[in-house]
Amino acid sequence: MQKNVRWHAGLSDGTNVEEGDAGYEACEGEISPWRRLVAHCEARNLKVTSLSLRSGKLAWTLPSASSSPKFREFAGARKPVSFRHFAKVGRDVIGGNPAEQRLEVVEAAYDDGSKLQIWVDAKTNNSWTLSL
Amino acid sequence: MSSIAIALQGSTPTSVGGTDVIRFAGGAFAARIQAGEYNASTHVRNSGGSDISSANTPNNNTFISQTDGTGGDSQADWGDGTEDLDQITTAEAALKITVSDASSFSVEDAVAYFYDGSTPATPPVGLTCVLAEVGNANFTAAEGSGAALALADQSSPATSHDYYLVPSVSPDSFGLKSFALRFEATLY
Repeated sequence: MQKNVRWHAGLSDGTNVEEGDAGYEACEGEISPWRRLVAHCEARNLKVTSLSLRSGKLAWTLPSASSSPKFREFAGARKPVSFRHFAKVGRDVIGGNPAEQRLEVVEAAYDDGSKLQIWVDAKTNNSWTLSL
Repeated sequence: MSSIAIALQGSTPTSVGGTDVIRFAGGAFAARIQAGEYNASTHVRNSGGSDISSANTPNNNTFISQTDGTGGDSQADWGDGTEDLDQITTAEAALKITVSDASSFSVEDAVAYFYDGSTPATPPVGLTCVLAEVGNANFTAAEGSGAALALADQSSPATSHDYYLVPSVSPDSFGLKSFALRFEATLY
């Protein structure tokens, strides 16, 4: 089943890859599309330079590590040293709300250990930003 | 898409559906827990109020002490009398939580905690709740998200990951108590 919210990554060789693209589909029993991207980058000595979550025409984009931003403020901003995608799941096991929650998360990590995360609820497209 | 399944373990596991409730009780399904005492039995109750785990000999984990076991271990009773908590096996834990997905994934930063049922940061009111993962030597007073029990990472990719929890609760006073136990995890 195609996910509503998918990661979209820009790579250091100039290519762009989106979850669900050929080679990055979710396949029964195989490693996740994001892990496949990580393996692809490691095998070819590539880095993720930008990362966003997308749902139709909506996009939630982390600060880029690209060297050619369009505006001065972007050029002067701190650049992430790495990016990651994961999902956060939760459910009340006893009492509370038994409905499962799953949020897609993209994360930019900086050289001082700080992180910036964007969380998106695939059901509602509500989003949150966390600075850690 | 991922899913989280919950079972009360026993001779046969009882799946806990969306409209079912795990009921901590005294010695029997309908028995109340006395104030200051811990659960003596655990059941799954459906929306009609029936015990749907009765035929499955459901597991129960009762808190006995926090540090009176060997080397300061917690103690619990899971049906064989008082034992050190680190001796409980996965089959003897009351709760089994299974996270699964079509693709292979790892789990990190999984936590579980009791809360008041409406605000995750707020501990249950009028209850003492303890929780452990199989392998822990001591119970954690996992009351509120700020005091969550950190569960072990499961870093080998697989399409399914199991967590075995040992919960026990005790009312501090007479009366109906409302609370929830929540599980959260990072899948990558």
